[in-house]
Amino acid sequence: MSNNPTMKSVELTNIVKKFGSFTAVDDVSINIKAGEFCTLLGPSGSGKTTLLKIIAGYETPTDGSVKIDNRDVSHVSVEIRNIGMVFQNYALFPHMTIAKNVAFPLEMRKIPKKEIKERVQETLDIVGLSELGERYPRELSGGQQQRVAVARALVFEPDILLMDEPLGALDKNLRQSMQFELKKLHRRIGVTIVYVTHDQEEALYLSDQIVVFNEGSIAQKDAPEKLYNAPNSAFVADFLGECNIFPAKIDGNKALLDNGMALKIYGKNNFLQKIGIRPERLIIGAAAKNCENSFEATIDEVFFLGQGFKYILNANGQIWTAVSQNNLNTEEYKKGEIVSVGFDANDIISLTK
Amino acid sequence: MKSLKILIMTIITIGSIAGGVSVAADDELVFVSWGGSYQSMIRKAIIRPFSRDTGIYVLEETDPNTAKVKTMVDSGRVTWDVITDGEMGVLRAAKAGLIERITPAMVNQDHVYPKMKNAYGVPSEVFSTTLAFSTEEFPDGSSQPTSWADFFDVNKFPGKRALRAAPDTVLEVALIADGVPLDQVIEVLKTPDGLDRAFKKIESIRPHVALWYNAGGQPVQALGSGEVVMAMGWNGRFQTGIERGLPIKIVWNGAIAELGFFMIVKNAPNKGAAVRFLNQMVSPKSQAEFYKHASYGPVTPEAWDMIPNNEWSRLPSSPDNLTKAVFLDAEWWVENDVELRERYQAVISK
Amino acid sequence: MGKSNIFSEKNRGPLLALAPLLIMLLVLFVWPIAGIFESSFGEDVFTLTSYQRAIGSEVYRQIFYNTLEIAAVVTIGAIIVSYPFAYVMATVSPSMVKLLTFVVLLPFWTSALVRTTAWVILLQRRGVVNVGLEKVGFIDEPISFLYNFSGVLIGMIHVLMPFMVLPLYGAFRSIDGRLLQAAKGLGAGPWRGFIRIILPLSAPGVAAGGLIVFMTSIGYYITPSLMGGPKETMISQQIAYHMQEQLDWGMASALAVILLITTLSIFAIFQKYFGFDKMFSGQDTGEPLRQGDEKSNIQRLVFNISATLAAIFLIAPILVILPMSISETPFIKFPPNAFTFEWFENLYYDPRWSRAFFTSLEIAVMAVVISLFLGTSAAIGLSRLKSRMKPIIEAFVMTPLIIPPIIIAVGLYSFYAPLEMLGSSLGLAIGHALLATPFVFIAVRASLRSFDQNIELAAIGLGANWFTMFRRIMLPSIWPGLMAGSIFAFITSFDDVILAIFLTDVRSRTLPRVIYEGVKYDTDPTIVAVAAILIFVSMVVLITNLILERRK
Repeated sequence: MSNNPTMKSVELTNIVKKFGSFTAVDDVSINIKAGEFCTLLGPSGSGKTTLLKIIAGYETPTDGSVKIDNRDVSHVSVEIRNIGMVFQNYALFPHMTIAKNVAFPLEMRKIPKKEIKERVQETLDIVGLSELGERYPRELSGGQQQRVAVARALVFEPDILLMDEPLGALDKNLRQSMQFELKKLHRRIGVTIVYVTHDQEEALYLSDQIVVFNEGSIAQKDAPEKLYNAPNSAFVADFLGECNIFPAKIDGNKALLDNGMALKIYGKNNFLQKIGIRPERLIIGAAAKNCENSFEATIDEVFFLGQGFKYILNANGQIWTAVSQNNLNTEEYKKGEIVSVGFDANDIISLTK
Repeated sequence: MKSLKILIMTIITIGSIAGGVSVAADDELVFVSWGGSYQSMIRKAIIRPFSRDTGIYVLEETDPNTAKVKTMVDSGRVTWDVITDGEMGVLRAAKAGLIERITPAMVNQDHVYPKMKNAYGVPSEVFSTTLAFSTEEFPDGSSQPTSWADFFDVNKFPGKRALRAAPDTVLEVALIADGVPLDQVIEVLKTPDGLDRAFKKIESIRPHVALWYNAGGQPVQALGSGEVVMAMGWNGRFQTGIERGLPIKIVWNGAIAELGFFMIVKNAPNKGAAVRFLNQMVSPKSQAEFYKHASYGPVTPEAWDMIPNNEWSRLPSSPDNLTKAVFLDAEWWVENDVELRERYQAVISK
Repeated sequence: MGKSNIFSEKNRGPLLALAPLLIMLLVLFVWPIAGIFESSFGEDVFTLTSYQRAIGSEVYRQIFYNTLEIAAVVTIGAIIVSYPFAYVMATVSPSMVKLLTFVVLLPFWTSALVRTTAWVILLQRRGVVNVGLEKVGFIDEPISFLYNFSGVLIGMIHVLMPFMVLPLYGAFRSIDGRLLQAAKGLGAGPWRGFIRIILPLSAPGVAAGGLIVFMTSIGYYITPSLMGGPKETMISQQIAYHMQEQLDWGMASALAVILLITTLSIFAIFQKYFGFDKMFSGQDTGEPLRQGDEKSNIQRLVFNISATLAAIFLIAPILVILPMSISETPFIKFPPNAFTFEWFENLYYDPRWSRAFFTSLEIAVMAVVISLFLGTSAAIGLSRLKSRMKPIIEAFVMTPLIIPPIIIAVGLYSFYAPLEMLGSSLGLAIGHALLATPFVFIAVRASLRSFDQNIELAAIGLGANWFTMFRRIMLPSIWPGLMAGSIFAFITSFDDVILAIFLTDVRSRTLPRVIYEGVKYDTDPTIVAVAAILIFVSMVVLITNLILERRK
């Protein structure tokens, strides 16, 4: 594999995909820059895998166009589209050794045997499996299989790399270390990656751009930090991390909640329908009284999370979730205690829907 | 499974190579008969001498059932030349237009017993359905069955019986057992009362019949293995059993005699060879060969001169045996077969 | 999602793959059967005479009743004999499994005719069983096993038992052994654990095996005519009689139509309650059942004894052929008075046998090739088809399996006659392929189920075209299914008598047909020698396979 990878952009314009009367993808447009790591995030059935298959060429869009490197490939068939894809369960060929699996796309491209051997070895080196070439997929652990799938999808220097929930089958620790590996790999070879997952943490960790899907259309797309800090809807706010979300009426610089609580709020527009506050922004205890907004609440439930505590709070019948860090400064509260809870007006996320 | 796979493949490959080698002959004749010792007798007495004399290769097949002949003739793709069957078969095939008419110019039958002739077939032999019993069960010196009346008398001769699963010959036998004189059996059978009488007689023996056979070899085997102590069956098959050392004895009294015929299938591909074959078969010399290989009687009186006297007793058409026999009325049976078969099936399967 | 119009663009490929089989079924199956239907109403003018006779006559009603009764009793008998055997087979150690597999497969590989012959030898009045029972003192008088209901029952159960054991084994294998442990933990004793857990979970296997056995029994022809008496006359025998001897096609067709309607109705009822697609789908899941501490000793003993008896029942008639083949009087007496190699000599000198053997092989190979192509292509096509028609097409593809072969034989006979295809090896091979394709279809469908469709997509995404993908990726994955299908197809063809009787002539006579003629027209002892050789070959193949597999 050359260290000077082909970096290609992807441009999706007004993609629509219908199966009979069911619309799986509804008017989706996305620009993915060359070398970008773009994640399609959403609950299952939201159309993200279908879109990935449309980029790969396994599905033809009912409407709209797919451009790779400014070239319309909507009608180019899969096997010559030159796209690498890593499948959910890796789809390794069970009757072939690892080396044969990785060599497969090169053989299909009629590359000379000698070169195939070199490139397979080189790629296996990159994913750290140089010793396992003669093993069969069933003899490998889940993480190793995943790396084989990546190696196989990269070995022929594809224009872009598509990954469909590639870490879904791994346990949590392995998933985290594989995320790290993936990020390193992406930095190293710089290929454009389109990545599908329903795991928001994974998406936040890996991506340059996240596209959140809901029922076939884009709910929001942006860089991870922006998406997390400024979601535009209750759906995105809730899907990307936890969020206390309440309907609210705006009255000047006050937001009125259903239970009569009035919160201070800055310069929010009148289209606002809901507000959200991230649990980690809530301050519990004496310090809360210094915040711009504060109220009393009863602790309904306490969960120990390891790195912190999670409190379920009841403020006049309204249920809040708060998270505190597990460090020397934090005070622990017991179930049933009445505490002060507070946050600043800037911590309020305004949601239009 | 891999090894199994290779084995199978090997067998298959060998098979397809070997299967590609087929038999082909220029001068041939396809002869179709009913297999078993009957066909092997024909083979020894006629086919081999015929092939030796004429150089015509005779390809043998079995089961010349009329439906197949009909399909061949109807489709115009006839592959059989000579078929054999009983008189009923000849009448059915002739009626359906499936066989060639045999003219005196084709086959000379002047020397054949006159009442055995048929316009559509050449008689080949006389065979009988007889009674036979196990000499292990009824040894010489003790009381032995001598008539069909004894066959139906389980008090006098206890033990299981074997009867044919089709009614022709069985109904005649039942009437003989019921006391109808031999020369009146056919007449009585044709009356409704006679039929009722025959079926009633069969019902009386039904609980004691262990085997209702479909195939000619079965009664011999059943007698030999002790499955039954008395059976009806073809004399030729019984004789083969006796020669194989089975404890069987034949009773000629009340034998139902029938004729075997050779026929030429309509539009037979080797008609010339077929005609030669039939001529050879019916010649007194060939007719006098049969007795050497099986116990069938010749259809021409001239054959008796060439058959040693001590062999006559086991042949159905010998003067002595003929007087104790009744000839089946094939024409009547062809008319009534289906109806009687249904009635018979109902009676014996109760 | 995805249940679009069957003729949508997406279904073009799958339909193309299904087309060869569907066309063949329409031409060689539906069309000829329609012909039978037509001729059942008279050849020239429309008449219901044949139906009036068939339904009105007590004789035919009785025969229909016999047929259903025999099929039902055989099915129940096969379940009773097979159940403990399959259970033990699913729970013993791997090496015992091999032995028991051998016990099931050996009869399965051995011609049904040969097995019927063997039973005649075993069960006759002075046969092995009677002599044995008398020697032990259980009986004073020999029992009449043959030419009555017991003969038909024993013969048919033996021939059909593998069809019962295999689905049952599959069902037991798919039961998670931890369920029994859980039941035990919840307080169920060994018997209640068995009755409440194993019995209901193995029900699909019972249903699947029962259906195959019942459907096959209904069309039976050979065993009842050789081992039964007049009370055991079955409908297929009557169809053959009216067609072959009476030339009464109207009557034969009417009986065939009634048989067909009966069969299809029973199948429809079954399909409604159980579903055909569940057959053969047994897969190893979870922890397999084990013969271990979750059962009482008595229970284990009961199962092991029943299974041993079933194993003896399966294998005894096969093994008895070997010594009897050198007996002087194989059909008459046991133990033999004297030994002789005469029957093997007959075999050697009579070219009929070797010619028939090679004809059978040739036809079987053709049948395997044809059914592999049709069945595999259709299975792949159907698995990719997205349509509501899918279950209907699937059931249609399976129908040759449940239609009595005599109906197929009659249909093909009248279809081939004007085409001058009677007597051609290819014609018979196509007929056999018709019977065998459902087996290939089922086997390939099953192996495709475990073939992740993403693997196919991955290969294409990596640059393979469809055919390269098929050859290099899909074919190796479905190979076990193809092999299983080929074996079924081979046996179906190599063992068939009924189609051979109707469709072959002197040049294309197959081995089973020659054996059948030998049994029917004359109890020719040469058959025993043929049987011995066939059994010997099957044994060598199976044992070699077992040894080679162990070495691996």
